[in-house]
Amino acid sequence: MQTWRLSDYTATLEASRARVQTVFFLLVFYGLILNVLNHISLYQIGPNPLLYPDLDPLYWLFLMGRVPDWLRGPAALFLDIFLTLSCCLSIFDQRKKTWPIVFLVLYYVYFVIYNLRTGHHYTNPAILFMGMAFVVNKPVRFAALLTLSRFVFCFMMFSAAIWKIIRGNLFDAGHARSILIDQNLEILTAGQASWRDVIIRQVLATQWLPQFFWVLLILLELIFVLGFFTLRYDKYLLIAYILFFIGGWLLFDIYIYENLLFLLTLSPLVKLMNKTTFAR
Amino acid sequence: MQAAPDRQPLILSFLGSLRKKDAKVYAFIVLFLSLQLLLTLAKFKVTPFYLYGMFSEIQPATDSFRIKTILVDGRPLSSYHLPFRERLMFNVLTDHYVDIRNNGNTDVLKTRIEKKYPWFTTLPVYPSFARSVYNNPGDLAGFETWFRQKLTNTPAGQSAIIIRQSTYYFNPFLSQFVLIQHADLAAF
Repeated sequence: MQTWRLSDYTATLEASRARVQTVFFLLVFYGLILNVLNHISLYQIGPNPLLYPDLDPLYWLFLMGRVPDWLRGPAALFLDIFLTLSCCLSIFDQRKKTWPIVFLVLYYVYFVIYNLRTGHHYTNPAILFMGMAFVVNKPVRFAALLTLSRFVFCFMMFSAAIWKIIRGNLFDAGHARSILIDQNLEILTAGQASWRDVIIRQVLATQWLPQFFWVLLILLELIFVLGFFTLRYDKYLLIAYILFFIGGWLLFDIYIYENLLFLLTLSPLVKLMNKTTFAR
Repeated sequence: MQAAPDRQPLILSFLGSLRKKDAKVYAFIVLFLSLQLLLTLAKFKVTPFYLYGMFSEIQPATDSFRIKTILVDGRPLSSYHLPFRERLMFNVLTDHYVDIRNNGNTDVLKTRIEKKYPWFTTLPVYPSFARSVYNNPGDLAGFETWFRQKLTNTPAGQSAIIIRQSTYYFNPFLSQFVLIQHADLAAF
């Protein structure tokens, strides 16, 4: 099987910009629809005054600039509408860089205000990083910024594994079981039989199984170190992330769909988005 | 014909070739990656440079587990069939609300900064920082109104919201949960 080199990867990205942009913003648009269905557009959340800036200077700047005070009521609705509009225009009018720029700025504001008003800083930065690639004109820069997103993706997964290993909970059986119970306690104590309740009880009933799944999830994170060295194992990274996502969803009720966009930076999907370019 | 694979690690060949092609974007990317690395080592987060800890905090093995239930006029929030992210928002926010209430109505961030970074509180900008960034008791009251409005669409005093904590004992041999006690953390 042919091994893809870096030059194949970047040349394919450069040549398939229009297609990558269409796919990316279509998926983002789908994500924005999901947000509305989840009642988490800015307008739907409403002006909760109890904010969560945490230890993050960017959030402090937003608060010192009084941005949340401005973005309430009709202003929040306008932001939601223009965010969606700039996303759609980034699909249909790709000659102008204005739309991806407007989108990125508005998405940044949405991202920060969403986290401020919902009480947690969610680790779902895929759109923030990948969105940068579409604001530049030169093909070289476009490919470079998407490659940067790929490295950020690998760093996110690999460093998550390293944090767990350094903090010493890789082989801590109690840690895995405690998280499994904590994340599912509502279901486990609800007294109603559901498929998730059955799965979690089965896992808990076997002494070694929570620990096994925990180590497996960490290994799935750990193999992303390969992404810094070669493109050769990208298809395994793709499978690893899908398994990681399904595992997180089934066992720990975690469901951060935005980060699935990072998969577009792995070579199997880059190839898929532009088979013809690669064949040439 | 099979292409020869890259001889050096991908990230190095990427930076090397980019330096020749476009010095400006090369400088941007080097700065970006260095910042991410430095902030991670210093354990600081400045969006978009995240710390990707993701469930790495040590959680000691225990057999007692606490669960919080939000009751709206006696009806648990779980019976509202809210979409996943909205339910998550209510659960996370009530944790934040209870944390501040239990901290004597003082923002937990304030306590954390004063304890961990006392030098920061001596800066001339700190008083205005504190006014803009920290939640104050008025924000707790504002949260109660917002929360009630979201869930019941009624003004203050017309419906009772209780945040209740139940403690369960987990019997690992029978894989069973036994309720030990209930405690109301807040009611408004």
